[in-house]
Amino acid sequence: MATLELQGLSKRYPDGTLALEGLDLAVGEGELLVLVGPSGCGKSTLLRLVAGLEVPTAGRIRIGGRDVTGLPPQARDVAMVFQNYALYPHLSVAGNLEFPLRMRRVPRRERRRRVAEVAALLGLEALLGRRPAELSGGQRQRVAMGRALVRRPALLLLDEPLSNLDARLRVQLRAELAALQRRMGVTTVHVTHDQAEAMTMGHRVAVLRAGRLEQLGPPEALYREPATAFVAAFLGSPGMNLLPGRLHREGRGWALEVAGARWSGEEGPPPAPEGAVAVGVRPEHLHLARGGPGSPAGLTLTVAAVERLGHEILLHALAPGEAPAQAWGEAVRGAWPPTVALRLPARERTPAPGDRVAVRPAGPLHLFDPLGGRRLAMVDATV
Amino acid sequence: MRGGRALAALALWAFALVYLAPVAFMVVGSLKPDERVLTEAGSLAALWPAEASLQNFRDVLRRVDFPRYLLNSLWITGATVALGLVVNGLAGYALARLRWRGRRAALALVLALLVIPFEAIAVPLFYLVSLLGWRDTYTVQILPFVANAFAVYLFYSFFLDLPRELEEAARVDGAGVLRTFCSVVLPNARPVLATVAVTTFLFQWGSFLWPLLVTTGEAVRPLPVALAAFQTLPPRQWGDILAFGVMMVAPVVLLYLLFQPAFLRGARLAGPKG
Repeated sequence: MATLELQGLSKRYPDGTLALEGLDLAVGEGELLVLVGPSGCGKSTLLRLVAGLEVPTAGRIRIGGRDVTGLPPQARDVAMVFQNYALYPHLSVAGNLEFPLRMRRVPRRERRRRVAEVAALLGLEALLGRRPAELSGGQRQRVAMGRALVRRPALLLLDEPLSNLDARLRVQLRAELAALQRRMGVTTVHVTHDQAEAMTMGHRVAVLRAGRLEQLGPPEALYREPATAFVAAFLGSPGMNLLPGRLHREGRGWALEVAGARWSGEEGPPPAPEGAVAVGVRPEHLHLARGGPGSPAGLTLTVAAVERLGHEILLHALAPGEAPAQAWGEAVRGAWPPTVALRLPARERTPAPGDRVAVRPAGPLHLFDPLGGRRLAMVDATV
Repeated sequence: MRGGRALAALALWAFALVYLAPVAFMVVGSLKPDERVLTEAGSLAALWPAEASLQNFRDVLRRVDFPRYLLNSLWITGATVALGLVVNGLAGYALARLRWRGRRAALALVLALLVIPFEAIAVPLFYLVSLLGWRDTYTVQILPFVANAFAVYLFYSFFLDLPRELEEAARVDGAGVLRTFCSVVLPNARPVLATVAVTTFLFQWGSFLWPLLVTTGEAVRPLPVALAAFQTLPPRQWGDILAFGVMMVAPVVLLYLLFQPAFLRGARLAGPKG
């Protein structure tokens, strides 16, 4: 168990790709930090740098206060679970579990004891004699986990360990993994592109985008108060809706025009500089307006698809016309969801695809800088 | 339909017989009294030993120093296989996994060497080894065949397909580069090791032109050259010659029977699925 500190960590590959840029990050003792981001954001590179499988272009890596930047993997006391598990095909489950101990010249009796211990912990006792090829996906995942934990590493690195499993197993193992980490108390960095894993497993979540840290914090904080349009759209399933809007003074207060609808705020100065803004609103914070299409406060949308999930309904709808303007920043355009999503209670009468509906906000609106994507304000709008 | 299948089967059997008959002729002939080998050659009796005995084999052992040739062949072939696995395996690994200046050029060169038949370079090579004073040695029969472009290529393509994560996992688990190679890469390379060993073995065991060029005495003479010399040794006894052939082939067949199950198992496990 140890802390992990990254200082100004950068990685440029020989082909010129900049995978990480000046990253600073600290993981506390026993903490489970989830690194999340779309593919190519540098999260796997970060993990490989910490493991010692890649050499950073700049920056320092400290594990438990010790600078390991120049050390080879075997001298770092880290363990890693790979996306495809990387179990040794020529060794049995017992052989796989024993391998890290053998490499570290742990005496045979101690090895036996530790393998038995970790096998019991993960329910692998009956499988010890099998080869990896004879195991199911979930069993392989457990063996990979056992191999990582058996030598009680200072730091545990998980590289998308659940992504090769089917959905049901993934949810089950997600909970098991988090519980196991808590029980062992091992400092863990878990890389995933699955925002649900990030939300449910991490003590803190670090969202990476294009090699930079976009936001770091507890999962609920990131969900409730995303620092950027990217984080807003990335977290949540579906993510936060983003709509092109315009903020201006009106009377003694302010108003927000969003795709033909007008939502006004409380009295006082506008919460952000007047002009174009990207308006973010969570799917659960949009309700169907009573007046139907044409009501002035309602944002009129055309239903594109309806997903009935049993306990709720997801509505995917198209806003009239406007895709994000070309003039807007890549940070915002890149995050832009193609449709507006609404999360409705199942009992509500459901519109059909092709229907036009009016919606109104029923929760906080987030205003983002349309160029940089930074959040400017969080407001409540009345309709 | 059934008639067609039967006809096809018959044709295939006939075809197979063309290949099997010489082998059968050799084995059966080796057991026959010398005078019957040629007189029965044109009939079906060629494939049936009426009065089988091991006399021909005893004759061979009496007339020439067969054990000497066998040991020569075993030593030359064994050394070439063992050295070849190390040299070609490491070369293939370096080409597939390590990053070094000139790697692409080296790879292109190895691929280019694949198309050059040995006979084309036999004469220049002969002059080279003569200059080095290597004629009539084991070295001259082993060294030129240790590094082999085809073997390097086989290893190279195998290591390319071996999941890189296996080696990375070993590194993180505490193994250095060499231990990773020995503990993880080699055990998973058994199929390609077996393939290269078998092809090298067969090539060297049957090699004739080169040893004929570079050996004169009996001391380092391998079996194929010894067989050719035996054919010209008067009196010409066909039964003895066939017995010599059987004795030359027997170790290969024995090895094949011994390693066939392991080789098949290796091939089945070839795709590491872990």
